[in-house]
Amino acid sequence: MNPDINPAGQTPAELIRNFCIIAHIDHGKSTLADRMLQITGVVEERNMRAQYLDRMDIERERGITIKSQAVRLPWQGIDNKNYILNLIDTPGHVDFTYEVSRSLAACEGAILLVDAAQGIEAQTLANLYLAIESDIKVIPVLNKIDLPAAQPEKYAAEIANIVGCKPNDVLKVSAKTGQGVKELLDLVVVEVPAPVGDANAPARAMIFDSVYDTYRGVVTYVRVVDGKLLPREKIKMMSSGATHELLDIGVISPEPKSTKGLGVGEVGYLITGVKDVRQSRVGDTITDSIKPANKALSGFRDPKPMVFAGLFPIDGSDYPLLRDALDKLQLNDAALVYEPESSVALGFGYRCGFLGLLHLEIVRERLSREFDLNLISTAPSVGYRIVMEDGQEISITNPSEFPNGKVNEIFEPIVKATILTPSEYIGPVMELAQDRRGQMHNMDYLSEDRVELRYTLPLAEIVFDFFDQLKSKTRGYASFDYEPSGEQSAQLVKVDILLHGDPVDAFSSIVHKDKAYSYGVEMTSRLKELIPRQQFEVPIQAAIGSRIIARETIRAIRKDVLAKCYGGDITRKRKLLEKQKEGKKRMKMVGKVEVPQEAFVAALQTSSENGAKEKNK
Amino acid sequence: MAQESEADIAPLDGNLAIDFNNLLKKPFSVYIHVPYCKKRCGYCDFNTYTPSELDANDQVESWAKATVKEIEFAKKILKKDLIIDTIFFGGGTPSLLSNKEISFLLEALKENFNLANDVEITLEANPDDITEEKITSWLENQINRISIGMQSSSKKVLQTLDRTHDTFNIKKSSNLLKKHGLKNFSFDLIYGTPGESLKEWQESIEFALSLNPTHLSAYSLVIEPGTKMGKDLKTNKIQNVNDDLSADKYLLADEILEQHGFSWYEISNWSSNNLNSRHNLNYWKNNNWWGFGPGAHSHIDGIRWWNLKLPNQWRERLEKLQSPAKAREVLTADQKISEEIMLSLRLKSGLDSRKFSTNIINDLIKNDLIYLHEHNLVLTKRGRLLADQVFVQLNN
Repeated sequence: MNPDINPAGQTPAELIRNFCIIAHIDHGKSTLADRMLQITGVVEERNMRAQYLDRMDIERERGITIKSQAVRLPWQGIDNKNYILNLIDTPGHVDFTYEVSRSLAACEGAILLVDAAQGIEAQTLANLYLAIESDIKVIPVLNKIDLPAAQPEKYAAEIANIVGCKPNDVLKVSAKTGQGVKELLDLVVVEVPAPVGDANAPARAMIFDSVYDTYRGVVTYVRVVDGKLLPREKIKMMSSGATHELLDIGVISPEPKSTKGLGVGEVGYLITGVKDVRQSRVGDTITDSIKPANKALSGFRDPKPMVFAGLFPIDGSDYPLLRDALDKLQLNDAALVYEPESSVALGFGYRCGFLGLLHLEIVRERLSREFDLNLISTAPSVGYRIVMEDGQEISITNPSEFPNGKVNEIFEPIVKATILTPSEYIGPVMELAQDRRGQMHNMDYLSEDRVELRYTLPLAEIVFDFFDQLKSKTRGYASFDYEPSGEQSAQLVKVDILLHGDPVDAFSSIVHKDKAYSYGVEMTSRLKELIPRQQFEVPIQAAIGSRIIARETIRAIRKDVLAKCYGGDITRKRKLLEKQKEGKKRMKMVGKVEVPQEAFVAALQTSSENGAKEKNK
Repeated sequence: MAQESEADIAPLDGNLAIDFNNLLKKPFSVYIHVPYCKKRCGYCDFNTYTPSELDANDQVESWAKATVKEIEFAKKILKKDLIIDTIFFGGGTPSLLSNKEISFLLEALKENFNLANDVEITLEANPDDITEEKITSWLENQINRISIGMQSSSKKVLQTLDRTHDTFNIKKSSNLLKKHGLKNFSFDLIYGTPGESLKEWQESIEFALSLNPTHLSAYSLVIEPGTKMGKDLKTNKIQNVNDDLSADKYLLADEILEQHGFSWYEISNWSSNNLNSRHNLNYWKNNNWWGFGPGAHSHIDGIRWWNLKLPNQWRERLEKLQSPAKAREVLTADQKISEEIMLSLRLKSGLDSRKFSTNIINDLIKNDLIYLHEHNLVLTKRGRLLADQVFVQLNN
């Protein structure tokens, strides 16, 4: 079919269908998108590569989409009219809920894609609720019906129950073989409403994604709601009032292609020459700077970091490299914030704020992969609001900032969490949530053997190892999703870890008072295993203020001498001692105590590794 | 091992770029490595082989012939008419050698070098091998010092170490030595064997002392990966050496030995009447020595090298009149300083303090790790147990 039949900027709104795909990782979203590209003819067979739309290597490897993209697909409907389908790809993870909500806001319809062998997952459910809340048409689809393990009848019933349709209305496809994909595209044309907007009103377009490109600067993805955007026009960002010239405007199909503009309901990209994604923020409204709209589209929000961690180069001389790398990442990541931090144990680094744990992991991995940095990260923590007795208020994102004076009240961030689990594990899941200070709101049976549990949980309780625990208590079957939900007052204390009387900043932590003791015991015993014996006895203590709550002792070393030199092998012995000497050079002094950096790394990794596993969900 | 990759390649001609006159200024020692054992002990990672591990070409006879070739090679390389101060037959199990082989080797040494009038010739002996016949042969060959691999008096410990002898043999063999006038003998003891109690260790020392040796070595067991015990450790069949208990054992040994008129002269060595191992002292004083045999180490005037470990590879080089060295290192000034600290610190004679800052010295004295004797730094008891840490502090 000729892609020029409906040139961009001139497509009547009634021939446009804007939709996205809501799916869990591995449920086949990217494969389905690939198949749509093929069937609609925008990608030739020979140019096809798996997961065409996922740009970054990390995305491709992990099979997840971090940044969304939009692709314009021509499609002849069953009424023989030539339609334009805009597939807006959504980020698939909990940390990017806000970006998901903006992608949804750019659509009139959503395909709910569920693996016919696994059923719906918590994350999908959470995004489905977002879609339902924003009133867009949901098309339920079961994928992977070609798999031997597929149970289409069972999961069709489950989805029908959740969406409120009949099991027969659930379309069954195989993105891998292409079976049912044509029918799905036809259904999109029929079911998804055409966009509605005022072509004569001042232009309003919503930014649903913004990506930094080395050659072109920031590429902004928009959905036009009213009016029309034209090349060379001056546009205005309604949140900041900043104006830019439209250097290029066009559509992606699936390579970028300049057009004469974008009209009502159309989806495409803009280039203005700005170099930083923070000047072109997701959710913001773009208007004409000469004839501006009065009112911005609703829903704009600043991305707010929720999880914080210190990132330190293992080799201190890499500090300037880390700074440059963070500067570069920030060009493409409006949610990443950071400021310099120094630590007795870890040297110079940056305190960074992230949307969530996956965001943290992605940043860490990009720093290591793209910038070749060897980093250690402190255990993730959250931000607190502290009200002092004199009424003064302090916000902290690092336990080391915890005030010394009299504290009246502490507020911690909380989340609304959705947990899906096979019903046989309800007991252990409830126990876990309760142990993490969770408050249950409701419990629904999605089907006979699957249950949805809704909780309010302190964010601090899930950044540690919640997901790991959940997986292990349910043999990997439970899934989990959360969204920020304000704050609550809580009985929190700061626990310090002291080595021979000197506090080790990297190990200070803010924990609930009921858990202070177990944190203290765990940290002190872990450090005892990791810190080599010194020539004197070293107490390791956990303290709340001046009160010691746990103590371990590293006994003084008594024997450190090499056995005999066999047959005059002096060389071997000298090398061993030289190695010991090199080891000493890498020691960090905490007061009088020599601690190998590896010990700090190991102590922190044991705790943060649990968090890191979250990425696999 | 790292040392080989970092070391210089040893030239096949074996030539040394040194001032050969230097060789006359220091004592010269000879080490002869006898790479044979009837059975391998569970803790042993030395370069030794049981008869079944070697083919017919590399049994004792051809080893002795190749060793003589190495002696001739050494004479050619060292150029000078050196006087041999000490000879040490180590192993392996040198007590397996027959009279014929020992005299064959000593004759070759006498032909190519001179023996000092008071030459010290030590032979390591397994208690099981010490017979009247062997003793007679040793005496005929001028061997005047025997180092007996006793290790322990505890049946349980000897079993763990895979040793075949028992206290009866030890007593019998040392009595035989004394009867034949070979009174200068030493016991090698091992402490820290998994399962050995402090009391069992005390009994071992007391048993050894009851047999009137002139010298005693006490080595802390190190379980090396690759040995049978190393494997047992990995599979949790045995526990690792308890360093704290070993510290107690060391202190106990030192105390008992001092009470019996013995005095330490090196971290792991005690003697009575100053009958130190002159041979080992030559190592620690950085004197010159040539180690003959597979895997043997040599040091000549700031150059260290070590021979190929496998008997056949070592022998084949010598048959081609080539150096059997696997690799060598020419010590840098820094390495020489490191070695000086490392070796001198092990000795009671101590390390010249004048090259070190008073701050470091005072710190070490304050921590009860060293004391000053005249201008030498000497390890305290506590310091002897923490010698490696003292080394690191001094070698900055």
